Order: sequence, then C-alpha cells, then structure tokens
Amino acid sequence: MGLLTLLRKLKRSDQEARILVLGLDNAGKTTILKKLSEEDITHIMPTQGFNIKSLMHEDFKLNVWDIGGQKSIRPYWRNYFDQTDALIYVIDSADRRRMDETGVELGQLLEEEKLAGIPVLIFANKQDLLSALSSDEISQGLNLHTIRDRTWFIQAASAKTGEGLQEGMEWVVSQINDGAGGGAESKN
Amino acid sequence: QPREPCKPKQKVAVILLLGLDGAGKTTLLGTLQGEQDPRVRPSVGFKPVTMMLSDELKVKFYDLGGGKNIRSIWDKYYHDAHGLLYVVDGADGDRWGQSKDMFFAATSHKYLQGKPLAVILNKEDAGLQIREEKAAADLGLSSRRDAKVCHCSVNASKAEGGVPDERLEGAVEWLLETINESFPALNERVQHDLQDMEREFQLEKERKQLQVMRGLLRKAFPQVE
Ligand SMILES: Nc1nc2c(ncn2[C@@H]2O[C@H](COP(=O)(O)OP(=O)(O)OP(=O)(O)O)[C@@H](O)[C@H]2O)c(=O)[nH]1
Ligand SMILES: Nc1nc2c(ncn2[C@@H]2O[C@H](COP(=O)(O)OP(=O)(O)OP(=O)(O)O)[C@@H](O)[C@H]2O)c(=O)[nH]1
Ligand SMILES: [Mg+2]
Ligand SMILES: [Mg+2]
Repeated sequence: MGLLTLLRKLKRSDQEARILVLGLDNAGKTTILKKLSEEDITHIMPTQGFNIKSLMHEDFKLNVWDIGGQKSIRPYWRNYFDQTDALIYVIDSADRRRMDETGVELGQLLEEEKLAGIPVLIFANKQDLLSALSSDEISQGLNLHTIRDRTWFIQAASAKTGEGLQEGMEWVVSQINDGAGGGAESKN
Repeated sequence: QPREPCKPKQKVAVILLLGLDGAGKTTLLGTLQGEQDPRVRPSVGFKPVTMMLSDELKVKFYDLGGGKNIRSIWDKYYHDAHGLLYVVDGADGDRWGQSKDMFFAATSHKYLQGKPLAVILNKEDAGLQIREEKAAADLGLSSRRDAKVCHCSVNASKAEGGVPDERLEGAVEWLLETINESFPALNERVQHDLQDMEREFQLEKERKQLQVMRGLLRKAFPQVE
C-alpha cells in the first residue's frame, strides 16, 4: 500500500453521549430541544438553571444539557463541562447586534481545556426570520475560521418550523461516532 | 521516573482540500481513512483529519466546504498549507469554468502561490467530461513539476474491497513526496505566514472583545455619553 498507511476509524462501543447546549439568552436553546422531543413550544420561559433531555437517535442515546444563557448565569456554564462529547452552540441568526458578543462567548468556550477537541455544531437558529444571517456571515462573526483543533459545522435551523434540527443532531451523532472528533488532536 | 525515549523530530504537513461543492472532498478523505460507505453531506464548515504516515511525518488534511455560502472562508486557511488537493467533479463539464475560476483565485493568492498541488478529476465512473491533458493546460500546470492532474473515482473503495483507487493513493503519495522534497523551505514559509495570520486573528479577536465590553458598559451606564 506504499507510503499511505490507512488509519481505520475507531468506532465507539458505548451508545450514549453527553451533549452540552450553550449560547446567549434568547437564542432558542430550550425551544430547539422541546421541538426535537415534539413538545409544545408556545410558552417557554428563560432558563434559570438547566434542563436535561434524553433524545434517542437510531440506537444512540443523547443526554442533552440545556443551560440558561443569561449574562448573570454564564459564569456557571463551566460547572457542566466535564465528560462532554460534543458542544451545540445556538445562536439567534437575526440578532446582528449581539453577533460579536456571542462570538466572544464561544471563543472563551473553545479555550476551555475540558472542551478541547470536541466537535462543535453551530445551530444558526431563527432562519425563519427575514433578517437571518447566512453561513459565511456567521462564520465570520463568530471567528470560526480561527479554529484548527476540532471540526465545526454550521446548521441553518429554525426551532419554530423544525427546519434543520434533525440534520444537526445527525451531524453530531456522526462526529461522535467518528471517535475523538474525527482524528482531531487528542485532548492533551 | 522513566523517561520518554528520544524521538526523531516530527514533521507536520498540512494539506488543504479545496474544490466546488459536491466535487468529492469529504468522500475522498473518508476513502483515505478506509471507510467503506462514507455517508456524506455538504460540509458547511471545517474538518481536520490527522494521519500518522511514519514516526517522522504527520499529515493533517483540512476539509472545507465548497458551497457558495461557505467558500469565502477558504482564504483563511491558505497560509497553513504545505500543499493543495484540488478536487473537481470531472463528470460535470458545465461547472468546469467555475471550478477553474475558483482554482485560479485560490492559487494566485500570495499564501498559496507556488505550493505543490494535485488536481483530482473525480467521478470517472460517472463519465469524465474533462481530460487530464486539457485540465492541465487550462489550469496552466502542463510545465509545472510540482503540480499534477489525475483522474479517478474517489468513492471506488467499495468495489475494490475496501482499498482506495490506487490512482488516488498514488496522487496523494506523489503530493506528499513532493512536499517532503522541499519541506524545509516550505515549512519555513508556512511558519512565517502563520505568525502573520495568527497576529491578525488575535487582533481581530481583541477588537471584538473591546467592542462587546463597550456595549455592555454603555448598557450599564446609559447616562454617560
Ligand atoms: N422566530 C423564531 N423564534 C424563535 C425560534 N427559536 C426560538 N424562538 C423564540 O426565541 C425566544 C427564546 O427562546 P428560548 O428557547 O427560551 O431561548 P434560550 O436560548 O433557551 O434562552 P435562555 O434559556 O434564556 O438561555 C422564545 O420567544 C422563542 O419562541 C425560531 O427558530 N424562530
Ligand atoms: N459517481 C461518483 N460520485 C461521487 C464520487 N465521489 C463523491 N461522489 C458523490 O458526490 C457527492 C458529493 O460528495 P462530497 O464528498 O460531499 O463532496 P464535497 O466536495 O465534500 O462537497 P462540499 O462539502 O459541499 O464542498 C456525494 O453524493 C458523493 O457520494 C465518485 O467518485 N463517483
Ligand atoms: Mg432556555
Ligand atoms: Mg464536503
């Protein structure tokens, strides 16, 4: 086979994963999870602490942690970093005014050792709104192009219509299945 | 305490995968990793795949999305690259013009100019519309010794019992050898440009942080100003 020795992918044996869902307040984190579990989304209050949801995806069980995003509770995000297999970062794609703010918060998360190397899904939520930004504007706004140590993916989505939600979760599962972030640098 | 044995210094080569959406970049990487049936979707993002080729050589492939909405990030990765794999849907004659334009835009950039490259005319199984010689001539590569055009089907691993098309492997090996031959100079260039770009990334980050801080202050003290 010459110079190229193939690197076979390690398949994960356990069928359970821990997913962290973060993002600014009002991004739509809780609405996304309720929509994914087919619950009513008409009366959702800002999350003061956290919610846990278990979602089944094929044979895979996702334990999803949805943490409140208000400024005053962001310092507590770090209490939830342990043993995380993937990060879902939700943004309100129409909130242009706070694009830099959400980018700065994400930038800090990406520097956390406990979250090193794990795949990041960006849910570009609220795509049903006319003023929603496109993928390249979002990658620019969030400085995603500076990332080298992990895989990332932008999924256009709307928790209101359900658009893109399933696809986003499929991407997350595929990356977890890939093992170690698809050959990204290991955690040390 | 046991000490780590002395290892030879490891070389790290970065190969950038570029090409229009649907050309086969992600499939190609899956095939190289021995995936039997890579289920792919358009990549709206970035994926690094690392392979150890020997004790001394580690290769990182950077797979980027080629779609209209994400292509604009390509030029943020040129400075990292030691070499380029440019993938073309060889069965799509209609988009050859567009693919060519993107190729020229990328390879004329100061950070990518003159770096070793291989062009993969993919999807031979679906009927090639562009021949190697024509592609080489159109792309201005006919006389370059550090550039090569090769046609194949990157998804052919299934038919071959899990082994990738040997022309694909050959092209990747050729690219790695070509990079290896001039590695010291290439790497010096990469490290130099990395410093430049990392400084730029850092400044951009600080500018945004400052802007956010200002916004928060303005909100907290609206009477000032
Ligand atoms: N138009 C539109 N509105 C949405 C969408 N998703 C969520 N919303 C609305 O955005 C508001 C905030 O949604 P939440 O799900 O509470 O946001 P959150 O991210 O959980 O907020 P915190 O819990 O405070 O961190 C609600 O009024 C939702 O109805 C969407 O896709 N489109
Ligand atoms: N017939 C044929 N189809 C292929 C071949 N390689 C890839 N494809 C198909 O082409 C489509 C696009 O492949 P991808 O690997 O996703 O292309 P890409 O370049 O990564 O596309 P973006 O991520 O959008 O930039 C998929 O449906 C593949 O199955 C090939 O050698 N022959
Ligand atoms: Mg909430
Ligand atoms: Mg792709």
